[in-house]
Amino acid sequence: MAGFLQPVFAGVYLSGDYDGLAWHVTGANLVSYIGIIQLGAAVAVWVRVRRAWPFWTSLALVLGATAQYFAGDVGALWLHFPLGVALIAGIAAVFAAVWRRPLPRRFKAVRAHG
Amino acid sequence: MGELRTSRRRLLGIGAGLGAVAAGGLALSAAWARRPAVTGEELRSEAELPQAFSLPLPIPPVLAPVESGAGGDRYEMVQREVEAEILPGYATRLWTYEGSFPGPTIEARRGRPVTVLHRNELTVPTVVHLHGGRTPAASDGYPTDLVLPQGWTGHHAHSMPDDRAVVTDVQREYGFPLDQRAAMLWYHDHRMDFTGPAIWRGLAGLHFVRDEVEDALDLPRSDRELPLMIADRAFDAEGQLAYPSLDPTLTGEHGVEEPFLAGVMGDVVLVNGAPWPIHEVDTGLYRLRILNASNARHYELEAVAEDGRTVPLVQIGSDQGLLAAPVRHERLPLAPAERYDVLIDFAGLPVGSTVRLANRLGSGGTAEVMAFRIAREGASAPIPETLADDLPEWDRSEAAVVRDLAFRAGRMEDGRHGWVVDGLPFDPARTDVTARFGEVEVWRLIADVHHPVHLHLVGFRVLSRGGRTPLPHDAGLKDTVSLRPGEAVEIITRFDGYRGRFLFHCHNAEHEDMGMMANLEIV
Repeated sequence: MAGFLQPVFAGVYLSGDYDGLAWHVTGANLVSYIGIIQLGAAVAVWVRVRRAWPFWTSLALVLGATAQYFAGDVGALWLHFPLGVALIAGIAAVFAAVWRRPLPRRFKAVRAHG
Repeated sequence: MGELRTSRRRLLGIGAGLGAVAAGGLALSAAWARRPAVTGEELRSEAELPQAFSLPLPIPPVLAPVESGAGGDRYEMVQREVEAEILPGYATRLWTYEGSFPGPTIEARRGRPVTVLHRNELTVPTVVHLHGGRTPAASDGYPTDLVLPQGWTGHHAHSMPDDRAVVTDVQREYGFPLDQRAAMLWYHDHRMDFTGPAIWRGLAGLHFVRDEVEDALDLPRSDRELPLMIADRAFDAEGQLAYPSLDPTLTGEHGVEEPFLAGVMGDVVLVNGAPWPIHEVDTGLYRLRILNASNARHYELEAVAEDGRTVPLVQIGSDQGLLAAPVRHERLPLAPAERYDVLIDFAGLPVGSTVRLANRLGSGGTAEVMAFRIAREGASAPIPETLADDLPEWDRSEAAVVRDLAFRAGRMEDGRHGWVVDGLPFDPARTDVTARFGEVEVWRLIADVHHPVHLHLVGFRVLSRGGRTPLPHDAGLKDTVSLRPGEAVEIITRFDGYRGRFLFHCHNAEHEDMGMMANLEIV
């Protein structure tokens, strides 16, 4: 959800609402925190049910989101725009993959954070 | 088990596909996108260009008043076309003030009024704006306050009606009270829809204001104080100035050919009207009064000695005069219409060597601006540690109003691509911002691409850039601030001085001509 709100905030900002920038920064922080939580959950999944792909995809997303954060910060829009779109696609894909292939019951609660 | 394996393989395939598409997109962007972002399209000269650093740096002549009295100084200027040798061996037609490009320099003192009678002997209407001047609205050069040339029959001097326009025939007197801090201002044409091509053809000059605060500092003077008007141009095969106007007579349809909608840049860098000039200096301290008079080109200046060492540029002043303390730059960014007052110390450099003033945003010819040749030993002088103590300080808490203003691409009234402020193209008849006389306001300016935003009448302080502390070169009192792509800048100012209709606009001259201006009514 936080990821999908980021382009909304960016659009609000560029439409001339200065507060949109603060929302966009808050959203970026939120995405970063959620990413780290998801990475932790993915480690648990790997350790407990020996399923590695959630970890690697989460790691890729966290690294991408970190690059996205700094690209936005320094105004490298050539990277920020396409990377943002790629990250949204990645988040959507991981979301679909996780929900299409449910994990054993006891892990569901943990994964739902992502 | 077999089913799981297939779907795992499929998942991996999907993941790899997505990854490849994302990586491809990023690689395409990295290869295609311009880094750093460009601010226009470059015209290529067809004329033969001189070797860099082969021509001397001209210093614009200082204009003598026609009359001086207790009430101030009175000047007269004729705007006329001349031919001048800018490129060796070519006679280039220019539109000039008093026959020179840059126009003659006016030297003024704070609080001593200057009046300038401008006579228009060109083929198009003109109007003069003193950029950075604290000038009453009637003399501020509003874009529709046109001075029509003799026999002008054009039905539409510009694209929109304006009931408040004060149009005169052939000549007009502008009055400048100059009750303002010492600074280097510049005057240029500000005709509605046609400012870009008019400046390009030569209608720009310098105007200094001096005061006691500056006098007390003992800064480098006379031939150690160098005005540097930097402007890029391009020349056709006949050596005439090339500019992609839709109507080259500048009497009909305004605007530029489509590839140049973001801005017009030339491949020749002129300083005071000379291509990549060289200037002889000694090993002492020099004061450079730098103006970027280019339509759309940004520069990042770096002084480089022969051994590759960077000679620092010590900024002592900004658009609206001296700073409180010097700011040392290795590289100095310079957006259109910005001015920087910098000291450069040639001490310790070998006699006979040269120092290049390079443009780190340029490539090919535009990577160079000019050079200094160290011709002899000179006396050294210290750089003052403190400068002016008369900078206005405004606090956010004083602000009566906080405004958000967006500068972005949009459509002009006629539906063509243009540039807009808060979604609207310029209309002289519409008041965009009404400010109360004497009140402090905070403006939060937001950009899609590069926009150097200029406010008439006032100087402002930069409060923040991208939500953070301003950059080192944002110091002091400014009248033009360079917004970078996607960036927001907060500025603070007090709207005092004069009531009336003023402008604020983007100083990318092509953006300005294609809608990116708005009215500021001070009541």
